[in-house]
Amino acid sequence: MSSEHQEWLSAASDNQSVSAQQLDLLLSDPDLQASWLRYQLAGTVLRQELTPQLDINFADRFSAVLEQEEAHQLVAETVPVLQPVTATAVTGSQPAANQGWWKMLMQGAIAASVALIAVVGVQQTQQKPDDALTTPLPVLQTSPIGGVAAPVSLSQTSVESRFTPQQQQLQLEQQRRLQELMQARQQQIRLMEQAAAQQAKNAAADEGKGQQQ
Amino acid sequence: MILSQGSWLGRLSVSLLLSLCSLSAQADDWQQFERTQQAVRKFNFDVSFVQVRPNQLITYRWLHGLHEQSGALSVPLELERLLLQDGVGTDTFRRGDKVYYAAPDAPVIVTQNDSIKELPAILFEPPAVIKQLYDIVPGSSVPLSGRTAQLLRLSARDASRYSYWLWQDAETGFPLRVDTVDEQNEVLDRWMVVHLQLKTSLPPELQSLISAQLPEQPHALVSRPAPQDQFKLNWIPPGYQLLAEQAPISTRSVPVLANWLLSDGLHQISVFVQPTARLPQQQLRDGAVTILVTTQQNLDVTVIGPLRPELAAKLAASVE
Repeated sequence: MSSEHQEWLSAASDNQSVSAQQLDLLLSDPDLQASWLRYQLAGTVLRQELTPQLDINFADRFSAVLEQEEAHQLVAETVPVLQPVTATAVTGSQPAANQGWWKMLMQGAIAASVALIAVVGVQQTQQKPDDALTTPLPVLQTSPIGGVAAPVSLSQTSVESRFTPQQQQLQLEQQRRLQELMQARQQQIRLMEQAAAQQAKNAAADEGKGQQQ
Repeated sequence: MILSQGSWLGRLSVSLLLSLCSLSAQADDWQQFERTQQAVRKFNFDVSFVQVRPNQLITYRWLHGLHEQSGALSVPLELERLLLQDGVGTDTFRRGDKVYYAAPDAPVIVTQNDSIKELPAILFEPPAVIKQLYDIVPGSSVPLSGRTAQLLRLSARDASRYSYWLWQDAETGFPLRVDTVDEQNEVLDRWMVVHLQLKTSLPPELQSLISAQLPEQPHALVSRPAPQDQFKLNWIPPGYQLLAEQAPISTRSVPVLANWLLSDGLHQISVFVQPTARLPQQQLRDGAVTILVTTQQNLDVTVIGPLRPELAAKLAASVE
């Protein structure tokens, strides 16, 4: 029905004749009047008869409107991310239009970061059993004090599987050599004072001999 | 002029007074330290301690006591025993100035020592030696095993040496914990008492040691087979001395062409020269001890000692 109205109305706006009945209708119906106005404006624009003009008072009115507008201030929230979701619901604050997807996104992000921290944390703890005792150098597997005659446990040696058997063999060989040297060193230290005492005795004996001659 | 001289003199006297104060404070702290050294010599005790290293935790039991010998002028005989708390290993005894190492399936080895070398040397070596190498700084007191422990920091005068942090029992002076730390105060080796029982008399476990039949004479040392003229060390870390007389060493697999033992009175560094096994250069750690293997032409030089890897490398490079 409206399209029928619009047809004669559109024709009328193009300077076609209208019946008295149609004119009465137009004068009585505000909707038709609004359409009429739009058609007239469209026609004017199409015929390029509209002069570009801006109301001189536009800026003033705009600033007046702006002043009436409620001030929206961007205040940094104290706990922006980790604030519990229930808290915002309880406070009943005005929900933002985009809160739904934002909340979901943030929850997802938090979950992801927790997972990431968990993974990183586990990896770190695996690498660092004790901060105070970690060192840049690899550590020699040694037998405890019973080094002299107790069998050296080579099974303790952690040989990583990424090495070829040949490399593993070499590493075992190296480990064995170092164990031997560690034991030799332990022996040296144990006998150190004795050696010094014996040397002093020998020196005294030599001196005695020298005096006798 | 007179005034300025006066103020200069005043300042001098103030600084003198301050330095005297710090000196006397240091003397007090060294007295505290000596209290610890005396505690491990004079007390009857039954102690368990752990040795914590990066991938190791070993628990030991350590017994010590004094046996009053008969006779008018006798000095008490020190008896000591160190054994692994878990597993089989060497059982170490000390009676006076002889230390016996009894390992399973091996004859008892006797050495001449007035302390067991496997215990922290800092607790036994003469204070005069330690004072030359370390400054003492008292730290805070903390509770350890429910007792009040006073921290004494022995900070190395020479940066090449690691420092010690010693916690002593405030009441008795007994050492409760000894940390070996590097310049960044990272703990390399921790010795910690986990059980301490001071006794009024000789622990019963040591009674049998008084009369135990043990080999009396230490193994005579064989004099060095050949002078090590073929190789020499061109550099020695500061404070260390080359020990003139050294025990010969024997290895089962690869012969040792030359070896040296360096000592600063408290720590020892060993250097070994062996024919090369064509293995890559290696740096390892065992607690505070660095183990460095380098290859020079057709020789492997191994340095083992409580020193920083850079210095170990310098020492290894000085072998000719």
